[in-house]
Amino acid sequence: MKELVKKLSDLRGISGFEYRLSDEIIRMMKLYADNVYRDSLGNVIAEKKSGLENSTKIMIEGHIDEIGLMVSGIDENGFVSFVNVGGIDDRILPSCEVILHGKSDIPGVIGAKPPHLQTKDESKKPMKPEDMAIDTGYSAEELKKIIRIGTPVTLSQSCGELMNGNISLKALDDRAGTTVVIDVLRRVQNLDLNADIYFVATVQEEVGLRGAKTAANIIKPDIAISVDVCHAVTPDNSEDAYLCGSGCIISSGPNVHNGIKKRLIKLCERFNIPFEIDTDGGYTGTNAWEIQVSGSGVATALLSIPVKYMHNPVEMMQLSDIEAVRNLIYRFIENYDIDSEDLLCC
Amino acid sequence: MELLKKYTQCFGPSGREDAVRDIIINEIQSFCDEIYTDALGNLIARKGKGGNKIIAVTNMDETGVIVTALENNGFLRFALVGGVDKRSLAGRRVVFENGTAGLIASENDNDNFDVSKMYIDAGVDGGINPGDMACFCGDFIENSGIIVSKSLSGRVGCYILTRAIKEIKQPENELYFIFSTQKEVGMRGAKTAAYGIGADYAVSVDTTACDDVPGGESHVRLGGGCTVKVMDKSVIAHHEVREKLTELANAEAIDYQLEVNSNMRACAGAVQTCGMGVKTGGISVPVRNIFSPSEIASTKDIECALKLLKLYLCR
Repeated sequence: MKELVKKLSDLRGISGFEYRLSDEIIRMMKLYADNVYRDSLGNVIAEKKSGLENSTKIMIEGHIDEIGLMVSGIDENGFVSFVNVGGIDDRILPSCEVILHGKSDIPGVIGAKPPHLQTKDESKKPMKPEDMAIDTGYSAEELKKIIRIGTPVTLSQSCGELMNGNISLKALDDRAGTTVVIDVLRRVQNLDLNADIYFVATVQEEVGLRGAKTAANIIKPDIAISVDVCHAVTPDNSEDAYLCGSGCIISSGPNVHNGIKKRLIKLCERFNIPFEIDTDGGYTGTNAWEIQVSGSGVATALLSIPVKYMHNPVEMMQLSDIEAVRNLIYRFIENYDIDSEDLLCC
Repeated sequence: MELLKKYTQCFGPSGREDAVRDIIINEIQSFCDEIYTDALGNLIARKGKGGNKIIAVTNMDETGVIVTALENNGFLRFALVGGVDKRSLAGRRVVFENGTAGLIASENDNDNFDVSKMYIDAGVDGGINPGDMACFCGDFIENSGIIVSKSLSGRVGCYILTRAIKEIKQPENELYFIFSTQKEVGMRGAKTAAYGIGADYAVSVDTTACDDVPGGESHVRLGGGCTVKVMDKSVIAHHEVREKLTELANAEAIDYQLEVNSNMRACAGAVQTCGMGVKTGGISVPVRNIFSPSEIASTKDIECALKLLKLYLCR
């Protein structure tokens, strides 16, 4: 599990450029599923069929895109201007190391005006992306042979293992979710299934939940479980946040089907899976929101893993929480039988 | 450019595209295999059968105003339709579908460009009712390769699609030309227009902001060729479409610029995620003063966009 999450986090692909990593996702999924394919947007879908007629369709998804930057210009001295892709926090960019994915991958840094040179006003305000630049060391002429406008850029942070089963990685949002999707797929491969299960690595979540929408339209699931991250408690935020180590965070609210939610809670109790209930009064900001209203409607659940410092390159998470979500989805599939169809009637 | 003049000067705010649609139908109907409209008013023209199903999509609508209330002495209160730069509203002329013209004026002390403190002075009593829409006035001027007009956004796309329909003789692919409605209020028409087609690929033909002016910072230049879209606010182009477009432009020596813009939206965004999804990219014409009644485009960029679109559709 730890190795899988590290491996997935180290893959690089911002929203819209997931094709840079989805070959590897396909390779992994093909080990455990017969039919794995990529749709028009780049979502990767792996099917595990029950072999039963008129089987219920269950979609399990996590998104594989990550937030990042995109080159928007190269000036005469080789400084590279950029725009944000997804919800990048501008404040964390200065002093970030990055990788530019042009004809080849090249490293760069985002510097900042030294404190000696800042005016009083500048030192008080966070820098804006339009005032920053990526510095690669290359001249403009050399650089233009490798990158151009539109080249994707990722934050280069790689995996760090911290104390007490904590990990700190870039893109845990939502490679941790992808880890769950792939690991559940691995575990169910020899189960006798009572439903058709679709394991989906979705694209373009960070720019507006775009991939999940078309994936759901293709699959037309009866039930969908989205796996994403939620905020963990930090010194500056304890509201609507959960301690790392809380286990699986089960969403409750209009975005979530009540019958499925109750079933998930029961399974946690029965199999001693740690969990907490999160209440979302409306928009959850996750793929579950789009999937729920796709086609003629889907019974949707949302399971989250608490993460500290979301959208920072040092996102931090406890491995036991990823395992809790993985175990819960596994139990849901394992215990799904014909009677379970009543779930949808509540 | 007579055709572009006719298209841009036509009345057609979002939701009232009928007049634009009629003149487009008139232009293209003898060059298509099938032509239909849907519930949202989108115009869809098919040409060719078999091969790849490819959509070329643009929009017919323009920004404007809608009357919300009538006041004494014939003053009309209004709301905006689509994204309009409020700073330059006062002093603009508008024209209603029935030909009534008016001037937007502002109450005193309206430093914040609050639309509720503005009104239309049309000098009329009667004939205009709440719900009536008007579009902005902006004459068509052609001057040594530069075009100035209202509504270049959208109608340039209509012009390019119209010419592509006329100039592509025997397509090997199944081409769907979509003239969509209600783009300026959220790309609403394109969502439904592309739904039933099940296309393999789509290219949207739009305009993009060109800020190569004093104090501006845009990497896109007027006259630098059409743009090939990488990303905007509504879409990240599918890499296969983007790479094919740049490959064709390189092979045929068509001037192009790569477009990364975090503010603009294109019909591509709606088409990409409709139904089961479509591999979608975009070609744009750079436009200065975008969303003003005096948008500026270059004829060279328009020709580049047309040439590249035709090559892509005949891929």
